[in-house]
Amino acid sequence: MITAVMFVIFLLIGVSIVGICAWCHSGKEEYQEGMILGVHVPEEAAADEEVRTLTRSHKKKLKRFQLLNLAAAVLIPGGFFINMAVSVLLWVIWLLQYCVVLIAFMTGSMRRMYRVKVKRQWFQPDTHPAVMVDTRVSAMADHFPVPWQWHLPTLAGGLLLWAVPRTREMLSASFVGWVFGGTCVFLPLVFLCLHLSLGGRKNQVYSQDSTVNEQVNRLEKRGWTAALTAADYASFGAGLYLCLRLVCGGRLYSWDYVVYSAVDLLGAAAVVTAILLIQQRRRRLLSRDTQPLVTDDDEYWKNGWYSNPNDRRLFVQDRICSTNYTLNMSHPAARWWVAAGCGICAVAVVACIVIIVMLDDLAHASVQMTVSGSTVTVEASFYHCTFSAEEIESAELVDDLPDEEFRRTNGASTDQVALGYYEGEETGDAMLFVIRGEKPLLRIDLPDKTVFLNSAEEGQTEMWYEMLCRPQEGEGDSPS
Amino acid sequence: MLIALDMKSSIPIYVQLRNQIVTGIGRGELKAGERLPTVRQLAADAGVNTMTVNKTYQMLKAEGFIEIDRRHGATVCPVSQCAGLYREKLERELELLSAEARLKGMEKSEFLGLCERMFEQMHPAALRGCEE
Repeated sequence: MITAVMFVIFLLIGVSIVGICAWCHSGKEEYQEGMILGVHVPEEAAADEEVRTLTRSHKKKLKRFQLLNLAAAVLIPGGFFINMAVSVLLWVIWLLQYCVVLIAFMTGSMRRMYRVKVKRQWFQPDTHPAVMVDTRVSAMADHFPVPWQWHLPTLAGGLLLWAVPRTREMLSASFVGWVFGGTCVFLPLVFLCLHLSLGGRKNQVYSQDSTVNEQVNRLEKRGWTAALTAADYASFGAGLYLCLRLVCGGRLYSWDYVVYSAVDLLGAAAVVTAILLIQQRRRRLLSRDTQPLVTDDDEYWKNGWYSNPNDRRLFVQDRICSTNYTLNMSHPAARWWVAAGCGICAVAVVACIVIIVMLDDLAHASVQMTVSGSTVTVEASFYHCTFSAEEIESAELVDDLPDEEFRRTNGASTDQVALGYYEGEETGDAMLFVIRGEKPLLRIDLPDKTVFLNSAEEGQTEMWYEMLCRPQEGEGDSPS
Repeated sequence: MLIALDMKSSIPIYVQLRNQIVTGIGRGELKAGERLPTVRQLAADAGVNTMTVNKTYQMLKAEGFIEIDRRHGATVCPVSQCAGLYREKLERELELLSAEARLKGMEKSEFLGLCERMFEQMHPAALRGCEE
């Protein structure tokens, strides 16, 4: 079950990433917005033989790259059914590879196109300087985004959860409560910051016609901020649902998480839809423009990235994918951002390797029980439990775990094992050292918790039971 | 109206901004009564410091080209009568331009023709409802 869920999640994420990137990077080899492959050239450049060879090659290679990566996005999650740990690492490495190679590929094409531009001297004498401002658009820019105050109800709702004594008490009583109660405050703040950032971004000048500039800027700002508002409400609704379930019911069930994920995904769907609609409508609006503005700032993009020491902005609109931001590499802070990005990628890979080691340990976990004097120790993988034989209230062999839901509080649960700290609906606090599918189980009732354990080896569980029943005879390490 | 800033120019940014706004008003691209962007918005869109834009707006206000209202922000002023101070400034600038033209070998008729052509391009306009 867990493997299937992981497969579906990673498959959806991978295919979505490749799909969205393919959409955003497609068509750059055609003459659009006065550019071919992100380089400003006159329209007749599209008919140049060298340019045609370059664009044909770019299109062919990009298509092959996207198809190969789409195949990888589908095949790698399939590996979860064989070895989840290795597949997760492979998936992360694949994702890093996809991002790095795609950026390098687009950068390479842009640099080659710029070399052709220099060779042909396609620098137009009537091009405008780099910085253009449309005063009419700038004067009305305040009205473009959805008002940021729309985020205040969600933020207030999140704070209210912590302001009411009863909900605060219930949420702060458990780790899950802290997490979801915290996200109800943290996420509206994140969405509010993103809203302010995207709503206040620089207004671009695309045309000599102010109406076109107004329409495109309004579309982008309104679209992004509306999507962020929708995502905020979806995310808050999902978080609020879990918090209220926790406060009213005292605990969460699997289907609560399903409802949470479904509502949260609505927000993600709103953002993806907004990206696609903005791209589509933007292209349509600009294709109708009869007075396009050629702003030749290519010298700042000649390396494939933006580097303009005269521009004080750190983040600028990306040349290839206009919905993205890129760094102004001349800005002193840019190197720290690049270093942070590389650091995050390195941490992600290291975290995956750690997860692999942990999952591998779990996959090969075997339960061991030792009796030393009157001290009984049960251990498997990272978990162990020690108690005195005198503490045992009862011990019995059972066929299965009690027919109730065990909530994991600090443990591991895979398709093969259930290890660590759990909380049963009726049993209460419990420690599980259970190899799934193996019978019987040894149930040990202690004053503060119940321990369930079994072994994959034939007759081993029964032997442990006998050792506990005759502790004086079973002194010493047991075979496992 | 489109403002084009040349970041490599030796002319300071606030002067470039001031000159282009005045030219825009003169050409009728910015109409009397029309709102200008806020200092913060124009600075963000031009990628310059807010102090730079503020300096420009203060200059334009002092010269009578715009007025700044706390509620409505900066708006373009209607065409005003030529003041004595401005006439003196114009004379000084024309003197310099005439000297440069003479030194570069330009004929009087050519210089005056150029002035006339430039002057004829200027058609200050008012927003509807602001004509009076």
